[in-house]
Amino acid sequence: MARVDEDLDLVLRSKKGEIGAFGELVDRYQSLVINFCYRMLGNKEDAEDIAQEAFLRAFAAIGRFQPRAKFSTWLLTIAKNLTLNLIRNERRRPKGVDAVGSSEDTLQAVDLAASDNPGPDRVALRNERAEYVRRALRELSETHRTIIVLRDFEGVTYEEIAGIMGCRKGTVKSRLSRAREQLKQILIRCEASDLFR
Amino acid sequence: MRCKRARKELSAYIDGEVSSRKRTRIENHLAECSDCRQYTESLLSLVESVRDVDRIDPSPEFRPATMRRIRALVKLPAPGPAFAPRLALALVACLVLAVCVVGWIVLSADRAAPGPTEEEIFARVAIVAELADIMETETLEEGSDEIWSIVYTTEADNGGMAVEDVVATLSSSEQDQLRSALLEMVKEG
Repeated sequence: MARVDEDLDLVLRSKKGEIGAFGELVDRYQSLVINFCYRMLGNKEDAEDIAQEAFLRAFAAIGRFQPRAKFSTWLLTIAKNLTLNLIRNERRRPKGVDAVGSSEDTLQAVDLAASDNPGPDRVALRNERAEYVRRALRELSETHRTIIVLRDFEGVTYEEIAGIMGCRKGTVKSRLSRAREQLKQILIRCEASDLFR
Repeated sequence: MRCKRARKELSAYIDGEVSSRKRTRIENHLAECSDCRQYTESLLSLVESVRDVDRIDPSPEFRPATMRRIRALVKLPAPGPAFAPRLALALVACLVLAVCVVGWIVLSADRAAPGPTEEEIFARVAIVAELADIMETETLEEGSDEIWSIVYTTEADNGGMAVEDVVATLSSSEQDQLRSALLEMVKEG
């Protein structure tokens, strides 16, 4: 059975109140949802809280799920809405810490990059690039960050992204193009351009 | 194809999201434009870098904690004493429903329209949100998951309050208790 059909079967069984079937959906999609939230928020604890909330909401509303949509698309739509709500609420709160990312991760990455390992160390370079990307992502608008995370981190198709973001496929193309260009400009501004040649 | 146009298309091109006709035009352009070739390479490198960022694994507690809350949502029998949480649950459900009913009566008193207006729906949602905030600061221990589940159900994503969902989570005796409480409130009110 194809994955989409298996999902549909699990959804139908969940609608009948079979908790175990929904548990299988949690198994299948916990990594996807948690990683999506993590890329958006930059914090594992918040990511898991939001992911759990997304599964709960999905379960509470499973009776209204329309089988013409993919379950994963629907789930990511819920996770996206919850994540954006959190980002907007956080923005309203005064912050005492640097908004650009986890200081611990940053320090580790900078230490690694600045360490006097001999020769070009691929791991260090990869970590350094990853850290720049993480920081640059935080500077993108919510829309651009969402679209980059969905496409480039999670490999979601343009059509599914259109469903998640409530826009047309053509809009996904233009937004993604602009988002990548903006990300590139941020990385260049961060003087990381030599790492992205 | 000119460079300006090509660059707008290159992002979709590297994802394989352009038509075959457009792909041919882009590739013809790339064959003769080194700047756009370089731009394409930088895009590919960017996407590769993004993909390289590590994934995280769900913590071991994630799934069990999620399933515990889901079981609470459908009120499967849980171990331990049931009376106090269920009473708290019934009281909160009464409160939610009572606030909704009273709010609806007050809000619709001066209006001729039979159904709630958008403003009224938002007002009701705000009441539930306020209730949720209050409950977050209360220590309801064993009953709290069930109570939260009611709030999640009530809030669920439809732009209005699904009071029926709240009632549906109660046992028939709790529903009777709720009806009596409401009748009393209506008589008093």
